[in-house]
Amino acid sequence: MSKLSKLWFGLTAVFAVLLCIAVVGTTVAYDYAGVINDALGVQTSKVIKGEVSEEVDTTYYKSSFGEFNAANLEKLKAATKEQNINEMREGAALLKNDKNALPLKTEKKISLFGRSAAYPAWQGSSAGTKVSNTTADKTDLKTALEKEGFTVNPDSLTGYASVKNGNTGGHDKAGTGTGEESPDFYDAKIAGVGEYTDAAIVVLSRVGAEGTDVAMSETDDDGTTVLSGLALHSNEREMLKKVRAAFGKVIVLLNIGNQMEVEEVKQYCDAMLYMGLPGHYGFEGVAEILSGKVNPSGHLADTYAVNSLSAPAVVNSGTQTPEFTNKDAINEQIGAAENASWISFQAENIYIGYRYYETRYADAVAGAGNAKDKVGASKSDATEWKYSDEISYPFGYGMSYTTFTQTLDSVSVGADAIEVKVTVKNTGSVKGKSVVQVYAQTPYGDYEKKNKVEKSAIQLVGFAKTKELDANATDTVTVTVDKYLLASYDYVGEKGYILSGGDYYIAIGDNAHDALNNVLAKQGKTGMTDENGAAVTGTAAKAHEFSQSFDANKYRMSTNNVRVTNQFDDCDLNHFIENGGKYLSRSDWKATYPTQQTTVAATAEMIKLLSGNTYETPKDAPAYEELAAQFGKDEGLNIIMMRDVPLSDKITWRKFIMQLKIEDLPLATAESFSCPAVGSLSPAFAVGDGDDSVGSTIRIYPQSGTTKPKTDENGVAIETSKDPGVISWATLRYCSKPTLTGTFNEELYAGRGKMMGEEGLWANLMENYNTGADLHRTPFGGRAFEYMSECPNLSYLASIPEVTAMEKTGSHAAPKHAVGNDQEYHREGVACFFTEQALREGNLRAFEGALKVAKAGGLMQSFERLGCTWASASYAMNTQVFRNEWGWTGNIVTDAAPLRGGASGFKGYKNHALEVLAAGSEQFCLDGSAGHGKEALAWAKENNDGNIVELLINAAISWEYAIAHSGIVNGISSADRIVQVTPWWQTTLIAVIVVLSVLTAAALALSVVSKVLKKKEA
Amino acid sequence: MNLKEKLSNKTIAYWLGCAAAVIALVGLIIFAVYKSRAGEGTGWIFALIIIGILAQVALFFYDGKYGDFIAILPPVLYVLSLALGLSGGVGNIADAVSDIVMFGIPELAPLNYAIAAILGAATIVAVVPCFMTREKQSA
Repeated sequence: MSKLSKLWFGLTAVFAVLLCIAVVGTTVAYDYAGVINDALGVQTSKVIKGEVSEEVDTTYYKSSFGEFNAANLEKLKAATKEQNINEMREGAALLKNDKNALPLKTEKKISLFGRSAAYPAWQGSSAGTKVSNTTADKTDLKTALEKEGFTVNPDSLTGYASVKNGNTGGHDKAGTGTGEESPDFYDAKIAGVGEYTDAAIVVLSRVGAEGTDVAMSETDDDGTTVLSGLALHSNEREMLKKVRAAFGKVIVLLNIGNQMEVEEVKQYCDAMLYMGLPGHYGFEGVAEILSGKVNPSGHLADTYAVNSLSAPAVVNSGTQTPEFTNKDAINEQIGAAENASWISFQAENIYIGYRYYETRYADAVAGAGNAKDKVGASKSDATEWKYSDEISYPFGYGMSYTTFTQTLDSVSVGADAIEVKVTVKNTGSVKGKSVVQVYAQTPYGDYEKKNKVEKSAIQLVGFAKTKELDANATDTVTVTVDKYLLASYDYVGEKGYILSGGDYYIAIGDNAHDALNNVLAKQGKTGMTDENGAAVTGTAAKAHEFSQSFDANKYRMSTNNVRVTNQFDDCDLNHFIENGGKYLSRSDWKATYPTQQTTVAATAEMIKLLSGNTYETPKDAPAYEELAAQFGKDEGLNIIMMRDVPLSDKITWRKFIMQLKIEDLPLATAESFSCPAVGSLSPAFAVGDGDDSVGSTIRIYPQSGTTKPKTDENGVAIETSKDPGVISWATLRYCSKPTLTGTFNEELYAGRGKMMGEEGLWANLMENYNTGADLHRTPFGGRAFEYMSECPNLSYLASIPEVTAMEKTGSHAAPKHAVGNDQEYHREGVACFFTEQALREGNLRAFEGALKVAKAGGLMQSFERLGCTWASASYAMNTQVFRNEWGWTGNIVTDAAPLRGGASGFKGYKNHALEVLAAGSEQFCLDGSAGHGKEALAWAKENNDGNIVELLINAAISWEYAIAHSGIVNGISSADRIVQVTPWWQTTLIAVIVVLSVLTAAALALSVVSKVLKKKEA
Repeated sequence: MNLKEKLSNKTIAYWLGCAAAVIALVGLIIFAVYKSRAGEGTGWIFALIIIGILAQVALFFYDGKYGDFIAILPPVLYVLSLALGLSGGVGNIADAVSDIVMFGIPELAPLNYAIAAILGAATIVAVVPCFMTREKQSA
């Protein structure tokens, strides 16, 4: 044996190495258990069937497509495809159409140009099903055009570099240009067009990504010029020039999730169509519009500025977000892991998008507030600010192949609502749909100026889409406006919502600017222009005036009968530092338009908040052991029995939850793509993630014939997702959100909700993180493609039908990212400062429809800080506003906050579980092993803090309530039991560790023995 | 035994261990760069690699009764560093693969790959000498 000494030492090393790999690998695997289970199709819980006295239908949530089988899956697929195409048919906005260049009636031989013609931006770079050129079942532009009878130059799509570059998708692409091919490339392309000269279609793209805004400055293709990522780049310009010179008709498609700067593009094309990102089949809608089969009726959900950098929010956001001046000191005090270096002072106040441009225009017309001062003008040589120099297309803009007249029949002002009746007539020769846009102007007088109540000169408050009208046909629509949308949040004087005293105006218009001009006409103003600078008079008859006395009481109490008052004083920078920041005010544009970045040195008070360690055990907190002793009692309640128990019956819900062993309680805080079973309360399930796609797979199992695998008498699945014969379908990718929002069609909003809900139900998803309602604070937002609009009222109104429809399906809607995730750069921890008016009428308003009105089943929070406090740790937002004011009862999930490797010691800005739970947040996203919940429970035990246990119970109630009211409980009866199952791979890994431990120990022992023997021999 | 004699007395096995230490040192430097860019990963990795390298250095001066035990340390510590490094970098790699920013910093994924590859190589090179004699004659 002594001669084998080296062998034993060598083997000891080998086994020890393998043991290290196994131990660390197992730890990581446990952290990502949900992902692994999903990939392996592993069952982590089972339902043991109990005896029921009578046959009960346990399909509590039925699909509108019938039973869950292969034949009906085809119906679902067809319906989702139709929804996708309809979104494009009605959401694509025709921006320019000189001499009726569109539709293409006689032009049949088409050439395509632009790298995005070959490699389109199918979707933004974020969650959900991915579509690419290699996706088998999708419709590309060429195929769609051919379907409409066009023939496409076969050379059109060849020769482009396949790897995307620049602002056309991907986390690492911002600031690297557009990736458009060189002028030489297009010389060759144009030389080879042959007979395909009837028309040219040029496709331009920009796409942000999760975590990455479009760059506010980058180097142009020429290598020297610095310009915004949304500006026309020189290679694009040269391409357009060459195409313009070579073709009699040039059509530009904006395949963009953001708002590109298109003022210069106008001169190179005859028609321009905003299409957004098409998803699987949206190009079919585009081709139908180009052919004339469909008359476009989409309108812009955003303002198209000549220069995106002119938005007042730009200076302190996105790629220009500044740092605290004392960030080193901050990091030294609280640690860099707290991500507390960045500050975004929202100097723009309420003036986002059209609320800025149109309000400044109104004041310029009125000669008020120094609005004409050159500050903020896009042209460097401007002597004054001029609306037409700033705007290419206003909010709500969109053309048609026909013409409509809209007549304001009546406006009936009631105590709570305003009824607006409008008759629309198709005065052209082509059938089509028209959008009635209803706007309001509310008073901006002495009280408002004194109390810093800002007012947009025009704001969308309602809309309706007509039915399809034949030539000369009319349709009368009634739009009911909630008067609440006319109220302003007064954070200085009344500390609540007020209805200002004075003259109010309700107006219709083809877009926000048109409506404003109608209001100005009603006011007898002169000197108005359109967006091109042409003088216009406005139409006074399209505006209605009424008076309202000052009222601070109407909305003093919320719909949940709670006093509405300031909650976010500490989100105003001036709360901490006198004159720390200056907010934009229409009282003086010149003095308040932000030209310099705002940053400060965080004070000691701010640093304390930034540290995240603010939790203190309440004095009346119960003792831990006292509560812990109450757990583990079988009350005979299962999740099906709880379906009829209202949330207000806290006693029964607590009994249900406290059947758990207390060590299993944290499982109710565990959220991931695959969420674990919560003890014996509820089974494991999946959730979906994606605004335009639930991003999951629907499977039909061959033995069961349904979406759930067949099980044996013990509830163990006897078929898996990997079995042969399983039918799998990746859920659909719909159009990007600005395109859907631009339909201004509540039926299509509801259709999206219904389809994504159905997909969620079929894919067994408890909820889906969709209905992105964050604002397009600037045009550069990396995820503009999955958020609705720059207008919080439009987001409020558009989300209601979508969420309502989805909530009916059995797969909950969980809007994200609540609230304020309106920039991607530095989103993890950036400290945002704003006025409470800006938040309540902006970001909060955008989510209010989905939560308060449509009662979404859940929500996902945001990464940024509200003031100095992470959104997930904001008691003001989560408890005071969502729960108390709005009476909303869904589950609250953080944004991604995985806790890898066990305990964090509550260090790191997303690791403050105590504060997060105390704020009313409940589940930790991508923390499928309940790391945060376990750490909080351990702390509670150690510190005898029953309050944390109470918070965990609340979290469990919300979670179980959402589960009980979802399709996850389909197939479970009140007599059944739920049992956790340890996945086979976890057992295997533990076995591997044990075996390697034994081998290592044995080899080491033999090494020692051999060494001893060798010494003796010596 | 003077320094020259010690040098000439070392076998290929010892020099393989030294090669592993140099490779691990490169890994350590890259890990330092990774950490300076806010990469996630425990600081213990620094200590583990340094101890592994020091163990190899110690074997130059001492390779007696416990020499074989000391020789086991470097590969174990290198692989532990590798595993912990990868563990910290999972988020970066996941994001790089899915082309988003959710779990980590995708731009750092190439550094995670490099650290893993280098420490993997160091581990393999350090394991081999454990089967061999590091000196031509006993000290």
